[in-house]
Amino acid sequence: MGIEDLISGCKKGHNESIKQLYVNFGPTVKSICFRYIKQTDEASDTFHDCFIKIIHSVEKYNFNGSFEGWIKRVAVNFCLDKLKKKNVLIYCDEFEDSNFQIESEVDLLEDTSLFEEALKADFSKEDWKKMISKLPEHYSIVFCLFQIDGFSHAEIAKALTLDEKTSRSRLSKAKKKLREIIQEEIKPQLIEIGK
Amino acid sequence: MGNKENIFDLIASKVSEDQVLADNDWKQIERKYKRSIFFRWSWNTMNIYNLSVITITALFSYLFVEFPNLDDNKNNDIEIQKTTPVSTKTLKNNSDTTCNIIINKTTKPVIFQLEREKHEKDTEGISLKKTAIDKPNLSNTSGNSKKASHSTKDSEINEKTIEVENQQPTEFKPSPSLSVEEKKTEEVIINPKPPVIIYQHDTIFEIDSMKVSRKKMRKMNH
Repeated sequence: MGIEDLISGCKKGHNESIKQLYVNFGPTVKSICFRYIKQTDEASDTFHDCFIKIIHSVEKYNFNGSFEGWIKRVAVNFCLDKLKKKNVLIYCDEFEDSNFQIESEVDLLEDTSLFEEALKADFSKEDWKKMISKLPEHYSIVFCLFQIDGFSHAEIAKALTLDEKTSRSRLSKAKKKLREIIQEEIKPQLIEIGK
Repeated sequence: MGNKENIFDLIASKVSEDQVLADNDWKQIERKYKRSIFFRWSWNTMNIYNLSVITITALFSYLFVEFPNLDDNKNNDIEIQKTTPVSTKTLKNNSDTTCNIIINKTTKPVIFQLEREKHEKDTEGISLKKTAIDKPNLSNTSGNSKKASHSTKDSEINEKTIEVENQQPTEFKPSPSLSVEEKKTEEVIINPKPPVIIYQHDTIFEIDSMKVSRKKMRKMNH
């Protein structure tokens, strides 16, 4: 079934098309939901609700841009709405955010050596997820939006009702903190591999 | 994400991998989807019958509580029939519009008769008569509203009236028409059940709005 037939079938409410939509894009949507919603049961519920939202909204897709990209956007926005309702995104830091130094050259140099060590350590997907989950939620969300889901700072600012500067600052802080977490995790992992 | 030797791009490539679907994921989505369609559909019904959102939502929440497996069946579980096919305009101007909701995939098929009633100037409610049928003729329940309507009257063995209140539950006062209904049902109730509980959004509430019925049930329980 081609993508146009699939969309057309979903718009008409054909069960086969809807199931096909689920088979094709369910894993992506599920992955997004589990990335933003930490608690497993809640993430699972969000996945169901989010997919229903996609089924209902599919008629709004106007073939402008890729369908998968559109689905990802719907899913991410759905998760953010859910987090907003839980007030997770409201965070006030007295040092936030204007005085924070955005990524320095030293950080970027550190990245290269860290990258090589991380390759050696050969972390699994779950290991990486655990490390991200150690970040404060308001940092991990910005990190995931920018680094994984490809949102721009302007888009993040709009989605989270922040200003762009805050978004940049949170991303930098998230990266700094994540480097520390990775370094802590790398040593025992490399020792383990050395054995 | 051009720089390959960036630790964060490495993380992104690892973490963005798609999640494996569990076997029961689709079932859950399908169930919720059907329910969601059902509510969306009921929204349209609400417009046709000029019922309020809270009333129709409460009504269908009640149906799902009463029949937890309702949406698991693939065929037509629920059929809504207008007893009198009239135009929307007429329905809106008609204070005692009725329709039948037929549950035909349960162990004991049931017809709910939905009745719109105007209680006071600003409050409007619906009454729901639940009728179990002795010998259901399920093939007759689709597409022939007149037949279904007659069969309801002929084969009633157990009847219960549930009043789902609209808008402001605390200020609800039973209308004179409700009192008449109450007298009718008092005579035919055989096996009274405990007060009906409705789940709506995060709130659980008893259908206390039908004060008369509640009192009646308590009396019988004593």
